[in-house]
Amino acid sequence: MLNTFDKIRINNIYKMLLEMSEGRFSFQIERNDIDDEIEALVVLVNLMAQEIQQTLRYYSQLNSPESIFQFVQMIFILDSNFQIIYVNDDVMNHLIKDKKEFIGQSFIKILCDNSTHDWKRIADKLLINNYYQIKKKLHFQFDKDLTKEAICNITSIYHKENKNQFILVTSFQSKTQSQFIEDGLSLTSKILSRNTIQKKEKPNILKNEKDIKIIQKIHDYILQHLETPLPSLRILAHNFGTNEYKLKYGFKQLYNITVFKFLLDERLKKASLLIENTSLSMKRIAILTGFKSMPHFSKVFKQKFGRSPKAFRNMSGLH
Amino acid sequence: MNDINHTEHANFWIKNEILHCTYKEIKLLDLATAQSIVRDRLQFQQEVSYPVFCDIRNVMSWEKSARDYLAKNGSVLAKAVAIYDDRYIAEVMSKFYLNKNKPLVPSKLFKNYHEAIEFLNNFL
Repeated sequence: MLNTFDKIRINNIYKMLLEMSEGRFSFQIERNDIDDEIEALVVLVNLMAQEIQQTLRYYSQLNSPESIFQFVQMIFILDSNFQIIYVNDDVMNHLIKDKKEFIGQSFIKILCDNSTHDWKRIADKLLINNYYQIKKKLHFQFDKDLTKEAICNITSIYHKENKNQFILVTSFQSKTQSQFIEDGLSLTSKILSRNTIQKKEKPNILKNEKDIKIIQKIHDYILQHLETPLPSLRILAHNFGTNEYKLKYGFKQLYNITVFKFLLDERLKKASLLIENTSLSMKRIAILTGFKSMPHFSKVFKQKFGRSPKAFRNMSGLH
Repeated sequence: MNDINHTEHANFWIKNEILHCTYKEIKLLDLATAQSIVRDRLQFQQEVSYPVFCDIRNVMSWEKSARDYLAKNGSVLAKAVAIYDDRYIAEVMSKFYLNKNKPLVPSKLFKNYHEAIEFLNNFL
């Protein structure tokens, strides 16, 4: 027989699974220190919700460019004592609480334990700086045991005339792929001007599970072999039992980036990590990340990061 | 045994050519923490690649962004990784990571220290 505490824990898993069955994946069950079978289930349910949430968001972004827009989810306005004086309807919808449960409540009270420390640090800065602004992931207490995470933009607003300070907390839907962030502005402007130009439908190359698995394997292979030259697409495709057409368009369909742009991006990311955190020579880093010539390495590095590898290292403080 | 390098989120030291990394108590391992751990590790080992013994028993939970980051960047200058975690929840926590995130270098979960070291000795 389960004791009362374990019954509550099992009940939390039911609740979470029911939320997931209705398509809500942004909740997490609050963890505790117990190391047993029930806790292992809690861990697994949390991990699965995180994965499904990101996967669904990723596919919705790939298939519908409009969904790249960031939607405001929640808005809180706090007074200088960090008490909530306004919440929008989205707050009630997301945290499923009544408006009167929020108004007059201290903001820290609706946060989970693991976010209160972050909030206290931010709150100190908010009081000192009139126009302070920061982005931070906060975990909200959804009900007694479920939590919900949201990336929040926290801004301190100072009203000069009546000398009042307000704090605005807004949360946005997060993005998944780094290139969405990098290309954010150009993508958004393209979407905005799309009302006159209709894009051609993307070819649907990946029709079955086997094709997707092959492309994923090639993706992993590229990541594992950044320092060696990549064979031609024809040979690469052949080595993994597919053809050049499927690899070329299937990779783009699955990861929203071409094979060679992906390879270059990953090489540069690894190079930046090594430049920033080791004293390895630039030549050695170029070799370790698969660049054959230093001038080419410097050129593409500068194109991506806006400064040469040497200047990048000087900025990091490691000379 | 070399000196222990204490950083904000983990301790590092080298023993018998194996880099040992013990995570300090982390309630929620987020992306920023994962980045900081990788940065500290790379700064500690400089240009030398090592097999890495990674004790994560003090990590309570981790975010997807942190798992993705560690799977890729956690293997830079690492020949192989032995994740050491003897908790019951390690069965799902670490196995989920190994199956789903597929780290770029050979990586395995161990509940026994000596077995972990034996695995890493193959990559010296």
